[in-house]
Amino acid sequence: MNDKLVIGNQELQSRLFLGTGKFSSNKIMPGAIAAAKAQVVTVALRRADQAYPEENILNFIPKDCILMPNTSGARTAKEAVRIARMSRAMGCGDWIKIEVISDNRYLLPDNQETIKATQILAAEGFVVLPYMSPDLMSAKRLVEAGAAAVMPLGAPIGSNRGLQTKELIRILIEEIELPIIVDAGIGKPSEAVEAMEMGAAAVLVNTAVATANDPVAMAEAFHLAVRAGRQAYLAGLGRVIQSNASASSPLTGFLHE
Amino acid sequence: MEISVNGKPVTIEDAMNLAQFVQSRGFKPQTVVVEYNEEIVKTQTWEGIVLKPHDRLEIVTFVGGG
Repeated sequence: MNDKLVIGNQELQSRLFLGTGKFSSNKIMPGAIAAAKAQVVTVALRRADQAYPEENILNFIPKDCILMPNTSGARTAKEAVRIARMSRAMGCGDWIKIEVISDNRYLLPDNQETIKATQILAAEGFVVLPYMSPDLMSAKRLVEAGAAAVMPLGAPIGSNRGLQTKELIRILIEEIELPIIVDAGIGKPSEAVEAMEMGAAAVLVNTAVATANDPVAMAEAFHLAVRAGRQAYLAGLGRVIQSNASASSPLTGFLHE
Repeated sequence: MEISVNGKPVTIEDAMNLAQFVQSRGFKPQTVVVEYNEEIVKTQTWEGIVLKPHDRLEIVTFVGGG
Protein backbone atom coordinates (compact mmCIF):
# COMPACT_ATOMS: atom_id res chain seq x y z
CA MET A 1 0.00 0.00 0.00
CA ASN A 2 1.45 3.33 -1.03
CA ASP A 3 0.46 5.38 1.98
CA LYS A 4 3.35 7.57 2.95
CA LEU A 5 3.43 10.29 5.54
CA VAL A 6 5.32 13.35 4.30
CA ILE A 7 6.86 15.69 6.85
CA GLY A 8 9.29 18.36 5.78
CA ASN A 9 10.79 16.73 2.70
CA GLN A 10 10.83 13.27 4.23
CA GLU A 11 8.60 10.43 3.15
CA LEU A 12 7.91 8.09 6.05
CA GLN A 13 6.55 4.57 5.95
CA SER A 14 6.08 4.45 9.70
CA ARG A 15 3.39 6.37 11.53
CA LEU A 16 4.65 5.43 14.98
CA PHE A 17 7.20 7.83 16.45
CA LEU A 18 9.04 6.54 19.48
CA GLY A 19 10.46 8.39 22.48
CA THR A 20 13.59 7.19 24.27
CA GLY A 21 12.90 8.37 27.83
CA LYS A 22 12.35 6.12 30.86
CA PHE A 23 13.76 2.89 29.42
CA SER A 24 15.27 0.89 32.27
CA SER A 25 18.41 0.49 30.14
CA ASN A 26 19.64 1.91 26.85
CA LYS A 27 20.30 -1.65 25.74
CA ILE A 28 16.56 -2.31 25.37
CA MET A 29 16.17 0.56 22.95
CA PRO A 30 17.43 -0.91 19.66
CA GLY A 31 15.05 -3.87 20.01
CA ALA A 32 12.13 -1.59 20.84
CA ILE A 33 12.85 0.75 17.93
CA ALA A 34 13.10 -2.21 15.56
CA ALA A 35 9.90 -3.82 16.87
CA ALA A 36 8.06 -0.48 16.59
CA LYS A 37 9.44 -0.10 13.05
CA ALA A 38 9.87 3.52 14.08
CA GLN A 39 11.66 5.87 11.70
CA VAL A 40 11.40 8.95 13.88
CA VAL A 41 12.92 8.78 17.36
CA THR A 42 12.97 11.54 19.96
CA VAL A 43 15.78 12.47 22.33
CA ALA A 44 16.34 15.29 24.83
CA LEU A 45 19.28 17.62 25.38
CA ARG A 46 20.79 17.95 28.85
CA ARG A 47 23.84 19.35 30.55
CA ALA A 48 26.64 16.82 30.32
CA ASP A 49 27.84 16.36 33.86
CA GLN A 50 30.17 13.69 35.01
CA ALA A 51 27.13 12.47 36.91
CA TYR A 52 26.05 10.91 33.58
CA PRO A 53 28.89 8.46 33.01
CA GLU A 54 28.29 8.64 29.34
CA GLU A 55 27.04 5.84 27.41
CA ASN A 56 26.22 7.90 24.35
CA ILE A 57 22.52 7.38 23.62
CA LEU A 58 23.11 7.78 19.89
CA ASN A 59 24.90 4.42 19.94
CA PHE A 60 21.55 2.80 20.72
CA ILE A 61 19.54 4.43 17.92
CA PRO A 62 19.87 3.01 14.39
CA LYS A 63 21.65 5.43 12.07
CA ASP A 64 18.84 5.42 9.51
CA CYS A 65 16.33 6.84 12.02
CA ILE A 66 15.41 10.50 11.88
CA LEU A 67 16.38 12.03 15.17
CA MET A 68 13.87 14.47 16.62
CA PRO A 69 15.40 16.23 19.64
CA ASN A 70 12.88 17.92 21.90
CA THR A 71 13.23 21.22 23.71
CA SER A 72 12.11 19.81 27.05
CA GLY A 73 13.27 21.95 29.92
CA ALA A 74 12.38 25.15 28.03
CA ARG A 75 9.94 27.45 29.85
CA THR A 76 9.91 30.18 27.21
CA ALA A 77 10.21 30.50 23.44
CA LYS A 78 13.69 31.97 23.91
CA GLU A 79 14.89 28.93 25.85
CA ALA A 80 13.33 26.57 23.30
CA VAL A 81 15.16 28.35 20.49
CA ARG A 82 18.44 28.10 22.36
CA ILE A 83 17.97 24.36 23.01
CA ALA A 84 16.97 23.79 19.37
CA ARG A 85 20.11 25.50 18.08
CA MET A 86 22.33 23.50 20.41
CA SER A 87 20.55 20.32 19.35
CA ARG A 88 21.12 21.06 15.68
CA ALA A 89 24.80 21.69 16.42
CA MET A 90 25.01 18.01 17.45
CA GLY A 91 24.91 17.38 13.71
CA CYS A 92 21.97 14.99 13.61
CA GLY A 93 19.64 16.89 11.31
CA ASP A 94 17.09 19.69 11.35
CA TRP A 95 14.09 18.15 13.05
CA ILE A 96 12.96 19.63 16.34
CA LYS A 97 10.04 18.90 18.62
CA ILE A 98 9.16 22.12 20.37
CA GLU A 99 8.09 21.58 23.92
CA VAL A 100 7.65 24.70 26.06
CA ILE A 101 6.33 23.98 29.53
CA SER A 102 6.06 26.34 32.44
CA ASP A 103 3.40 24.42 34.36
CA ASN A 104 5.13 21.96 36.65
CA ARG A 105 2.05 20.16 37.86
CA TYR A 106 0.34 19.02 34.67
CA LEU A 107 3.27 19.66 32.32
CA LEU A 108 0.89 21.32 29.87
CA PRO A 109 2.48 23.16 26.96
CA ASP A 110 2.41 26.94 26.62
CA ASN A 111 0.86 27.37 23.19
CA GLN A 112 1.71 31.05 22.86
CA GLU A 113 5.43 30.59 23.52
CA THR A 114 5.35 27.49 21.30
CA ILE A 115 4.00 29.54 18.40
CA LYS A 116 6.78 32.13 18.87
CA ALA A 117 9.48 29.48 18.92
CA THR A 118 7.99 27.77 15.87
CA GLN A 119 8.14 30.97 13.88
CA ILE A 120 11.79 31.64 14.73
CA LEU A 121 12.98 28.09 14.14
CA ALA A 122 11.01 27.47 10.94
CA ALA A 123 12.61 30.65 9.54
CA GLU A 124 16.02 29.17 10.40
CA GLY A 125 15.29 26.07 8.34
CA PHE A 126 14.31 23.66 11.09
CA VAL A 127 11.61 21.06 10.50
CA VAL A 128 9.42 22.08 13.40
CA LEU A 129 6.98 19.74 15.13
CA PRO A 130 5.35 21.61 18.00
CA TYR A 131 3.82 19.79 20.96
CA MET A 132 0.68 21.69 21.94
CA SER A 133 -2.58 21.78 23.85
CA PRO A 134 -5.26 20.95 21.29
CA ASP A 135 -6.74 24.35 20.52
CA LEU A 136 -7.88 25.17 16.99
CA MET A 137 -6.77 28.80 16.91
CA SER A 138 -3.33 27.94 18.24
CA ALA A 139 -3.01 25.19 15.66
CA LYS A 140 -3.88 27.65 12.89
CA ARG A 141 -1.18 30.00 14.16
CA LEU A 142 1.32 27.15 14.22
CA VAL A 143 0.53 26.50 10.56
CA GLU A 144 1.11 30.17 9.75
CA ALA A 145 4.32 30.11 11.77
CA GLY A 146 5.72 27.38 9.53
CA ALA A 147 5.22 24.17 11.51
CA ALA A 148 5.73 20.91 9.60
CA ALA A 149 3.11 19.07 11.67
CA VAL A 150 1.01 19.79 14.76
CA MET A 151 1.29 17.53 17.80
CA PRO A 152 -1.64 17.85 20.23
CA LEU A 153 -1.60 16.00 23.52
CA GLY A 154 -4.06 13.21 24.24
CA ALA A 155 -3.52 13.45 28.00
CA PRO A 156 -0.79 14.90 30.25
CA ILE A 157 2.75 13.69 29.53
CA GLY A 158 3.63 10.30 30.91
CA SER A 159 0.12 9.71 32.26
CA ASN A 160 -0.89 6.78 30.00
CA ARG A 161 -4.49 8.03 30.36
CA GLY A 162 -5.35 7.90 26.67
CA LEU A 163 -7.27 10.24 24.39
CA GLN A 164 -8.84 12.54 26.95
CA THR A 165 -8.84 15.39 24.45
CA LYS A 166 -10.42 13.35 21.67
CA GLU A 167 -13.09 15.85 20.60
CA LEU A 168 -10.56 18.67 20.32
CA ILE A 169 -8.11 16.52 18.37
CA ARG A 170 -10.94 15.55 16.03
CA ILE A 171 -11.50 19.22 15.25
CA LEU A 172 -7.79 19.73 14.50
CA ILE A 173 -7.83 16.74 12.14
CA GLU A 174 -10.81 18.22 10.30
CA GLU A 175 -9.60 21.79 10.11
CA ILE A 176 -5.80 21.73 9.88
CA GLU A 177 -4.15 20.75 6.63
CA LEU A 178 -0.88 19.67 8.27
CA PRO A 179 -0.36 16.17 9.67
CA ILE A 180 -1.81 15.88 13.19
CA ILE A 181 0.35 13.68 15.39
CA VAL A 182 -1.03 12.69 18.77
CA ASP A 183 1.75 13.14 21.28
CA ALA A 184 1.56 12.38 24.99
CA GLY A 185 -0.98 10.40 26.92
CA ILE A 186 -1.40 7.32 24.73
CA GLY A 187 -1.03 4.43 27.14
CA LYS A 188 -2.42 1.43 25.28
CA PRO A 189 -2.35 0.13 21.72
CA SER A 190 -6.17 0.42 21.61
CA GLU A 191 -5.79 4.18 22.13
CA ALA A 192 -3.29 4.38 19.28
CA VAL A 193 -5.79 2.51 17.09
CA GLU A 194 -8.47 5.00 18.06
CA ALA A 195 -6.29 8.01 17.25
CA MET A 196 -5.38 6.56 13.86
CA GLU A 197 -8.99 5.58 13.06
CA MET A 198 -9.94 9.21 13.67
CA GLY A 199 -7.47 10.27 11.02
CA ALA A 200 -4.41 11.23 13.03
CA ALA A 201 -1.38 11.12 10.73
CA ALA A 202 0.82 9.44 13.35
CA VAL A 203 1.25 8.95 17.07
CA LEU A 204 4.24 9.53 19.31
CA VAL A 205 4.57 7.03 22.12
CA ASN A 206 7.18 6.77 24.83
CA THR A 207 6.08 5.98 28.38
CA ALA A 208 3.62 3.27 27.31
CA VAL A 209 6.44 1.32 25.67
CA ALA A 210 9.30 2.18 27.99
CA THR A 211 7.41 1.30 31.18
CA ALA A 212 5.79 -1.90 29.88
CA ASN A 213 6.96 -5.17 31.42
CA ASP A 214 8.28 -6.15 28.01
CA PRO A 215 9.05 -2.96 26.07
CA VAL A 216 10.04 -4.78 22.88
CA ALA A 217 6.79 -6.75 22.72
CA MET A 218 4.82 -3.60 23.54
CA ALA A 219 6.62 -1.70 20.78
CA GLU A 220 5.47 -4.34 18.33
CA ALA A 221 1.93 -4.18 19.72
CA PHE A 222 1.93 -0.42 19.04
CA HIS A 223 3.28 -0.97 15.55
CA LEU A 224 0.42 -3.34 14.78
CA ALA A 225 -2.11 -0.99 16.39
CA VAL A 226 -0.98 2.00 14.36
CA ARG A 227 -1.16 -0.03 11.16
CA ALA A 228 -4.61 -1.37 12.02
CA GLY A 229 -5.92 2.06 12.89
CA ARG A 230 -4.49 3.62 9.76
CA GLN A 231 -5.91 0.93 7.55
CA ALA A 232 -9.32 1.30 9.18
CA TYR A 233 -9.21 5.04 8.54
CA LEU A 234 -8.29 4.52 4.90
CA ALA A 235 -10.98 1.85 4.53
CA GLY A 236 -13.61 4.23 5.87
CA LEU A 237 -15.44 3.14 8.99
CA GLY A 238 -18.88 1.58 8.56
CA ARG A 239 -21.85 3.65 9.64
CA VAL A 240 -23.22 3.80 13.18
CA ILE A 241 -26.95 3.61 13.83
CA GLN A 242 -28.26 5.25 16.95
CA SER A 243 -31.00 2.83 18.01
CA ASN A 244 -32.29 -0.70 17.56
CA ALA A 245 -30.28 -2.92 15.25
CA SER A 246 -29.69 -3.72 11.62
CA ALA A 247 -29.35 -7.39 10.79
CA SER A 248 -26.12 -8.44 9.20
CA SER A 249 -27.68 -11.52 7.63
CA PRO A 250 -30.66 -11.50 5.29
CA LEU A 251 -33.95 -11.27 7.18
CA THR A 252 -35.84 -13.59 4.86
CA GLY A 253 -37.12 -16.64 6.69
CA PHE A 254 -35.04 -19.72 6.46
CA LEU A 255 -36.38 -22.91 7.99
CA HIS A 256 -39.91 -22.03 9.02
CA GLU A 257 -41.29 -20.14 6.06
CA MET B 1 41.25 30.71 37.97
CA GLU B 2 37.54 30.15 38.12
CA ILE B 3 35.08 29.65 35.28
CA SER B 4 31.45 28.57 35.23
CA VAL B 5 30.57 25.20 33.73
CA ASN B 6 26.91 24.23 33.43
CA GLY B 7 26.07 26.83 36.05
CA LYS B 8 28.64 25.65 38.61
CA PRO B 9 31.98 27.24 39.52
CA VAL B 10 35.01 25.24 38.40
CA THR B 11 38.67 25.99 39.11
CA ILE B 12 41.04 25.33 36.22
CA GLU B 13 44.70 25.88 35.38
CA ASP B 14 45.68 29.05 33.55
CA ALA B 15 46.13 29.08 29.77
CA MET B 16 43.94 26.09 29.11
CA ASN B 17 42.12 26.02 25.81
CA LEU B 18 38.59 24.74 25.33
CA ALA B 19 39.66 21.52 23.60
CA GLN B 20 41.95 20.68 26.51
CA PHE B 21 39.25 21.50 29.04
CA VAL B 22 36.59 19.33 27.37
CA GLN B 23 39.07 16.48 27.20
CA SER B 24 40.08 16.94 30.85
CA ARG B 25 36.43 16.45 31.85
CA GLY B 26 36.34 13.14 30.02
CA PHE B 27 33.93 14.07 27.23
CA LYS B 28 34.27 12.88 23.67
CA PRO B 29 34.09 16.01 21.49
CA GLN B 30 31.71 14.42 18.98
CA THR B 31 29.12 13.66 21.67
CA VAL B 32 28.75 17.16 23.14
CA VAL B 33 27.89 20.67 22.06
CA VAL B 34 29.53 23.59 23.79
CA GLU B 35 28.24 27.10 24.31
CA TYR B 36 31.03 29.51 25.14
CA ASN B 37 29.65 32.67 26.75
CA GLU B 38 26.27 31.81 25.22
CA GLU B 39 27.53 31.24 21.72
CA ILE B 40 27.70 27.80 20.18
CA VAL B 41 31.31 27.10 19.21
CA LYS B 42 32.23 24.43 16.67
CA THR B 43 34.65 21.68 17.67
CA GLN B 44 37.25 22.86 15.14
CA THR B 45 37.50 26.26 16.88
CA TRP B 46 38.02 24.88 20.42
CA GLU B 47 41.83 24.85 20.29
CA GLY B 48 41.86 28.55 19.49
CA ILE B 49 39.70 29.49 22.49
CA VAL B 50 41.87 30.11 25.56
CA LEU B 51 39.73 30.18 28.69
CA LYS B 52 39.65 33.36 30.78
CA PRO B 53 38.40 33.97 34.32
CA HIS B 54 34.57 34.15 34.53
CA ASP B 55 34.00 32.47 31.15
CA ARG B 56 30.71 30.63 31.06
CA LEU B 57 30.49 27.21 29.43
CA GLU B 58 27.48 25.07 28.78
CA ILE B 59 28.33 21.52 27.75
CA VAL B 60 25.31 19.54 26.61
CA THR B 61 24.60 16.11 25.21
CA PHE B 62 21.67 13.99 24.07
CA VAL B 63 19.88 11.79 26.60
CA GLY B 64 16.69 9.74 26.47
CA GLY B 65 13.52 11.78 26.18
CA GLY B 66 10.04 11.76 24.67
